[in-house]
Amino acid sequence: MKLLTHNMLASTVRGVSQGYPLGIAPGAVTEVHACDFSKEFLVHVFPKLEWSAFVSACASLSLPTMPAEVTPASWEDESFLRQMHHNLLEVHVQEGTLICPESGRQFPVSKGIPNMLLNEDEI
Amino acid sequence: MATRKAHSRPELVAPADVFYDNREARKYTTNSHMIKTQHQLTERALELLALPKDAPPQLLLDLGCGSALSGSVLASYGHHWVGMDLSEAMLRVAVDRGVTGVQSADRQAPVDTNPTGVGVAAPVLFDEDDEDDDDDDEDGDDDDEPGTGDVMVGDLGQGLPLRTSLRLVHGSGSLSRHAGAPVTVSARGGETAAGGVFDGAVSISAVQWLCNADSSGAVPRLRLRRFFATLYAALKRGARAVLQIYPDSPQQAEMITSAAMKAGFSGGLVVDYPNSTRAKKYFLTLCAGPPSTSTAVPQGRDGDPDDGGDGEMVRSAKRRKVAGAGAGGGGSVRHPQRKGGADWIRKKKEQRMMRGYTDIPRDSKYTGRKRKSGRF
Ligand SMILES: C[S@@+](CC[C@H](N)C(=O)[O-])C[C@H]1O[C@@H](n2cnc3c(N)ncnc32)[C@H](O)[C@@H]1O
Repeated sequence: MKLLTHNMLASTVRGVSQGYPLGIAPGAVTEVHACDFSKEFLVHVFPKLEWSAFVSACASLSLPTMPAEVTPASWEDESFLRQMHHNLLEVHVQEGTLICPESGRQFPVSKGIPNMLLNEDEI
Repeated sequence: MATRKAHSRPELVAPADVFYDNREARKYTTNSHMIKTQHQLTERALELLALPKDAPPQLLLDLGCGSALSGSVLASYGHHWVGMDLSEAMLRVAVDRGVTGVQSADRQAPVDTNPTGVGVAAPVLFDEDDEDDDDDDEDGDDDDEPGTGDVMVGDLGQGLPLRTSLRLVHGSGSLSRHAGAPVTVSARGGETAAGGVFDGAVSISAVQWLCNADSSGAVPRLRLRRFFATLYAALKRGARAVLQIYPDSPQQAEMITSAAMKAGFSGGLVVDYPNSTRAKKYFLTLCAGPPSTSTAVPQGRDGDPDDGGDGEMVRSAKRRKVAGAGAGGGGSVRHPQRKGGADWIRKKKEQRMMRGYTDIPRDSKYTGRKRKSGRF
């Protein structure tokens, strides 16, 4: 699971109204899955992100910190862009647990794949 | 497709997560006929998705993404896709094929270390050599940025586990976080309070599964409703979803279509090759928003897919891919006017435009470009 995906995921367990952002339990195992850098894509995807959720997710995985505020200068800052690319698209959570902030429901991530399936009584 | 030969409707055999077990997932993904068919269907779906011309790489959903035969096509156009599927076995094959990126540790390793043993030449998506660069790129931008994908286990019938716009607005979303983005971003207008964030969605050969009451308590109508409501919420307003389906009857096609309309989508069913039993294909082409001239349902392809008619563009594009797939990466030489080449495609498009077709894909820097995903 990439952090871009994490940024989009929410818990939709019955009775939960926000279910976002999903916490990442301590001890998650990550890998790096390299992919091509595209500034164009980063610029395009930025307004789609919940930036603060991304910043916290990076912190939970002890990744290099992303700035809380993105300024116009950030888009000219090569090291910011590279780090954003890396944290958002290349870092892959292999093993871990996602936690619904409202219900505490846990969603496992196993071999890089989060499982968002609900039980019948959670729909 | 071995699967369909044995059971022409696997959705009637068992639930998807049972049917697509490890063995079937592997069989599916290495079947050359299956690969070819899914690639063609995805190419067509992308065409119907009508993404804005000269747009940056897009953020797309692939619903029922399976082992990413469809996702690889999206990525070959540079898009980033997020896929969901009920079968973990299928998703595992996708990850093993390297659709999420090239695992750093074995980046230098020879391709035949593919741990799955799936007969797929490992992560080819990110291979930069023998690139077929278009000299006549309109924007002169020959940066090639193949996209990447990511997958999750989920049941479309339970709805998509994605945050909606409400969360975006009421979450952390201080407006200041937009301040830094170049103006073009905020001017796009899609990412407003009313809409989701995905630029589009495709689903290839999956949604008919929702019509089966395959587990206790599964009510197809309810499942379709949840699916379409959450899909609508996930999409940027005005974005399209193209769902290629195999309905088992006109009633089923109608049930799926009307569920989509009830969720607020406009659009309808595009039928390609309606007169051919074998080639006939259904694409539910939807727009997340009210009907307008820009959301009018495109025409289906007609004529005989096997003669030199309308089906040919896709078929010959495929032949090019196969040519590129040979050992030693042959086929990288440019033959601009050869059948299937970029110029040839442009000429064909012109001819079709003259004949009054309206569903002609725009030219882009990717026009006629060899797909990297065609190499397995
Ligand atoms: C014929 S395969 C197509 C896979 C992929 N789109 C492709 O083009 O190769 C159909 C896929 O739909 C998935 N599927 C069926 N029902 C589903 C459901 N309710 N939720 C999610 N995925 C489902 C199956 O697991 C299978 O991977």
